[in-house]
Amino acid sequence: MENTEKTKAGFKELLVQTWSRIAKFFWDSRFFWKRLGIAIVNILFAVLLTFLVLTLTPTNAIDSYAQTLVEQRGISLDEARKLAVEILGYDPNANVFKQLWDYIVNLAHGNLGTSIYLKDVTANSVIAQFLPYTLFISAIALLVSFLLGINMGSNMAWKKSPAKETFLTSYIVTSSAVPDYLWGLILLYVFGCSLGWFPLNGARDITNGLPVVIDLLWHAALPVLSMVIVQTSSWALLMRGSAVSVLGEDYVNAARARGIPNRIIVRKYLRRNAMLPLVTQIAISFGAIFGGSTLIESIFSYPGLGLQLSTYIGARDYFVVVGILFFTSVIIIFANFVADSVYSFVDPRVRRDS
Amino acid sequence: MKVLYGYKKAIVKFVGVMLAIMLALTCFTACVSTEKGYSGYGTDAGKNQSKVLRIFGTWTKTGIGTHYNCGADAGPFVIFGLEGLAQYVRTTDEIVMLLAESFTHEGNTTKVKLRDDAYWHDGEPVVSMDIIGCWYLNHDEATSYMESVTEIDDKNFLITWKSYLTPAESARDILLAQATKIGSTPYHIFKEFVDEAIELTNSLEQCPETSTSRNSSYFDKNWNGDAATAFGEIYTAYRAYEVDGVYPATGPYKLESYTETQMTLVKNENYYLADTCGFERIEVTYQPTAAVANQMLAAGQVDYVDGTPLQSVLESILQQNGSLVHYKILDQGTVGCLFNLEKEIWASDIVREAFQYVFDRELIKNTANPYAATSWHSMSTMCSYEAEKWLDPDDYDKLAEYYYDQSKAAELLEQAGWSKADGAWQDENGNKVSLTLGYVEGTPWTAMATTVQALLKSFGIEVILKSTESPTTLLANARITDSEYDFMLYFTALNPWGSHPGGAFKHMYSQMDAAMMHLPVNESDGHYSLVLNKADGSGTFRAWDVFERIYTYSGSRLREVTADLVVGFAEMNYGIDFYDNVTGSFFNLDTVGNLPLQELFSEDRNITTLYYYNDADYDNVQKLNLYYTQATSYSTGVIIPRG
Amino acid sequence: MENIVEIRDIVIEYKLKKYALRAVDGVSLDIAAGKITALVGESGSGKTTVASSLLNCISSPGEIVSGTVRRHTGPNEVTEVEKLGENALNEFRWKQISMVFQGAQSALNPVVTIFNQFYETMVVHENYKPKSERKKITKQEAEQRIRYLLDFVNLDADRVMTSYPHELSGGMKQRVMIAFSLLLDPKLIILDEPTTALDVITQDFIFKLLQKVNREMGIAMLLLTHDISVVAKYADYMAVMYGGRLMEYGTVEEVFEHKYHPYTRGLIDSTPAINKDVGLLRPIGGEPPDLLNMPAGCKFHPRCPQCKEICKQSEPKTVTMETGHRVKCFLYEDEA
Repeated sequence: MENTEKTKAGFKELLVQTWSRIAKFFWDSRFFWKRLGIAIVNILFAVLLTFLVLTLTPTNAIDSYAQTLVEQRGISLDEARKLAVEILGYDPNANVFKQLWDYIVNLAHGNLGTSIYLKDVTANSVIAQFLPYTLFISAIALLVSFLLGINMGSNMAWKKSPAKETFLTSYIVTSSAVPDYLWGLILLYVFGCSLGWFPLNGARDITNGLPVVIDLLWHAALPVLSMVIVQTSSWALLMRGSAVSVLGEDYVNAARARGIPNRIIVRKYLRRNAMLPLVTQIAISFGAIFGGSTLIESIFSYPGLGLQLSTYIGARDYFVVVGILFFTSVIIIFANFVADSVYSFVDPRVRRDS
Repeated sequence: MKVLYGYKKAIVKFVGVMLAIMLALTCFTACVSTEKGYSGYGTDAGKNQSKVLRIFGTWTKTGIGTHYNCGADAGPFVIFGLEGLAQYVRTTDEIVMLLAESFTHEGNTTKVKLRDDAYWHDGEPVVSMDIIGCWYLNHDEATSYMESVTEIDDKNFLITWKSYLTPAESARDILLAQATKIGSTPYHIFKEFVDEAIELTNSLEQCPETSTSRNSSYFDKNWNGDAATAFGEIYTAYRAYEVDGVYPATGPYKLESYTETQMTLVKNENYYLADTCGFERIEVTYQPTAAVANQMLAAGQVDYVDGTPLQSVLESILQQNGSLVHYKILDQGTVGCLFNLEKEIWASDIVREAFQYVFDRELIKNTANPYAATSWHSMSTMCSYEAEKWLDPDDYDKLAEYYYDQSKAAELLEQAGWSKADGAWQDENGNKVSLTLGYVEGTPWTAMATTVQALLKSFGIEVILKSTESPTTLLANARITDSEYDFMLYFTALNPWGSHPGGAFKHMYSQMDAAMMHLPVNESDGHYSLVLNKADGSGTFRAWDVFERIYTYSGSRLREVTADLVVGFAEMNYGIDFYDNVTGSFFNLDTVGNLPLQELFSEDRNITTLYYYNDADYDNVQKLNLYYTQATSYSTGVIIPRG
Repeated sequence: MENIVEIRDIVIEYKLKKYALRAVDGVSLDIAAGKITALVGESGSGKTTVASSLLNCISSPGEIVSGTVRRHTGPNEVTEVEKLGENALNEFRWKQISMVFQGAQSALNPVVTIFNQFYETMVVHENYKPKSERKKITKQEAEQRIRYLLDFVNLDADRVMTSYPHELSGGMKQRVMIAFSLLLDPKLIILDEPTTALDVITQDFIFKLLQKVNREMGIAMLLLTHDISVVAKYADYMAVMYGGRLMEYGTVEEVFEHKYHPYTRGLIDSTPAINKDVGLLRPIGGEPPDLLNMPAGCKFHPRCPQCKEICKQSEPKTVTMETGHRVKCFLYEDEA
């Protein structure tokens, strides 16, 4: 009897302990949970807004499809609309909030959104098919422009050669004053048309018999270049600002006094320290490229996600559009998380402290 | 900014160098460009030994699906791979017989005999049930005139037309030819769905005589809610069905491969017209943006491009590439503005008439498309040369012409109670007039919209421009109640449906314009209540009643009702015709042979002469448009490679 | 007395866009081998600039306009620092003269471990040697040397070597810097305010350490400070700078005894000492000179209690006493 009492008490104590531990865990990580909560609310708002805005536009999927039927079959618009409703099984007049709810239920099953037109096309399949292309060009462009940008930025801050600096400053002004799609057109005109060195559109050419990787790179060259031209200058400016402040630091002068040659100072002292603030920036930019660059993709007819997104918006295929946007916002919000944590890996000051 | 100032000089230098490079490039291209003409076309050898045709096209990038009616679009493959019983050549009288060998009309029936040598791409012969089944699954305009389609044997079937709405014999050919992709549902694959659809259709009641939609009821059946739902289920299953194997098609080209941006078609050696089919392969590039498309064209990377760009662009393309020729092709359509009759301002017939005089139509045409022909009519729902063809000369002359005369317009407006103060017009209630114009962004609409705005501004009326991304959006924005548009720029007449006035009226009354214009609707039957004067002045008639039966008329009766609809509508001044539109086609002379008017492009490769119905060369030029003929120009030897 | 470095009539200007700022004007200074020489002056007096000129690493846009910095590297060998090319200069730096910077806390690269910073310097200097003499420094060899130096400055070598600068306290970093300055066996170490921002106990410890370095290793030191009491306690020679000019130079004993220059006198009298009554403290009146707007004549005259008419018009010459003591003041011009 006594024994049972004891066990009971012990059990109670254990329970209390467990609870307090769980509570402590949540309390300790409360900032994490808070941020996570804010992120989720952000995503929900993004979805809600895009959904409502799309539904509020006067055209809808039925109109677009009816137009196609009119052209294909020569029937009247009214009949085409009736037919479209039957064929698509989608009622544009249904309650918007019910549609949204259905969408969210679908989301819970891992389906980001099914196309109204094509039953076997989902946002998942669109992303799976087109994201690799977008990532391919955007990631290369980001990487190249980042590396070039930090190089240029540190060179400008170092101020060793006035001629070089003049050139770089002019480059930055010129390249950032002209938007990337215009550069795209110029490059296309010069290298695609006049000189004919690069293909004018697409991501690959199944007929030219080149190895796949070479062919992909060959097709990616111009779109990547036009993005690099513009992005490099913004990285260079960021880097210059950061590098100028590093140059004022004592340890750079100290390194010089130690007889460390300039090239090592630039590489190990200046660049490495000045790059730190840019690391968060690059993580965020990396998240942003998942949305694709619609203008560049459309100029080069590059089969990326951005161009697809605009196509689906044009077709008012709400569920796919919202699905892709949902995916992009999740990635961007995730990238922000990563940016925070990545910083501690590259900067020992943050690493050991936390 | 301080930094900027310090390097100002350098920047100026840099920009200067950039400009110099670009200038040099421009000069370079200007230098290498050749003369206006092209010689040796008929005599010298071409550059297309491999017999490849390179064109642009669009298709569903996520995948073209496994059959025509699956919902995805196979684009160029549909054009070159799929066909119907016959193909009408848009804007000409010609009908090319394809899967059908003949149509035999007898009373209210038509017997169709299929070709013996027509095969599906998978090798199966084309049989009657393939066509019948497709009609029962895919209702089109022809099926609203049919009572039934029944199989006689494998190669023959009988169409019974509705007794109360029997199309005239000439109209039957058009209706049958309008089913351009009827060869898309082979019975040996879709048997299950075809049988279900036929069974469902036969089980339905006849459409009651009192029904307001009796004339458009498919197979004369009562497609009420339940029937529609049942049909919808069959259709959805049919649509979702995935064909295992070759994409069902019968046409001259087979699908070899496709990616997101490329499609390759190869000649179907078993095709019944394989002997006259010149190109071995068709390589399609996904349609790029206009700027890139023009550059690819100038770089000689495509052999055929549809359309007429702005004059300056067209000329520069022809200048950059000395092997290109551009034909102007009539598209049996008129461009102009449509009034939104819901708006109070248009209630006054004097105001509507006044607006006919406001616009310098010549100027509008020259800005938007200088190759077109100015029209001086008010909106007549049929383009001028088509009206000239279908109307007796007496009736055609009844179409009033309105020339640019702003003082006349001002006079009329004052008569309507309007007044001008501080250079701006006020309506009869003393409110300043400001109009909203809806249009589709792009060529030629944007240029037209700005000119219209400028002309009205000079006249004293403020115009707010509202552009949309596509005709679908324009239609949707226009047709909602209380639309913001006061008037819209669009086709005031268009007939893509072959040589019959019915096509033009279809565009007007059942497809686009009437809906955008908010033509008043009769509550009791749901159709437009518009009543017009007969052309001969002998009374009035309800436009809808005549329109609905337009395919049943023939001969002089057809000409009579057409005149009634055209002249009667034009009198209302419900819109303004600006010009009869002209589209066009680019061809690369190095790679494409047998093109017409060779004697002209040895002088100037920009062929600006317009040919009308009676001209000898008219049909030859019209047939150059891929979309007017579908693949028939290529399969019948009209267009061949130049090797 | 053997001089390890002789600075002669050095003029240093900061070249700005519109004008040049003369921070140091005609300074001549001898640094005796194996001794501690203190360079005393207020902030802005130009002492850091003079010290930087020894390594020719005056922060941009400053540069040596005239004068020489001679480093006696051997019995008959003299290196003229300002004439060295980039490579030779880099080789000279740290090997011949090293420096403990003001605010040693921030003189270390924050993202590299202490060991790697030491190692990098060793490797870099090894690479300056002619190819035939060059050998690969292994990490083990480097570690041995670094461990010895860190032990010498009383640091826990195991911990410190793998640490990043921010993981060490201010005093530890200062000691790391001292160890660092000894790395290549230089004959002279410049110490720029080595104890600012440190607490008194640590300060004392650091100076004891420096004294140890000076005595045991025979390394000469140039101690830049504004703290007269430190000078009195540790230095052998002292030089007093004011407004970019060297005002007085001599042994510490002589300077403190005679206080020739009115500025030196002011400095010494304004410094509290244990054996002095605080009431006797006489701070120097007025403000330090503005480099942009230097007074004519003797730069000290506006604050000088013994100012004469001539002081306002022309600058005094440097007067060398019999003892070798040097003073730049009109009061003593006649004596020479």
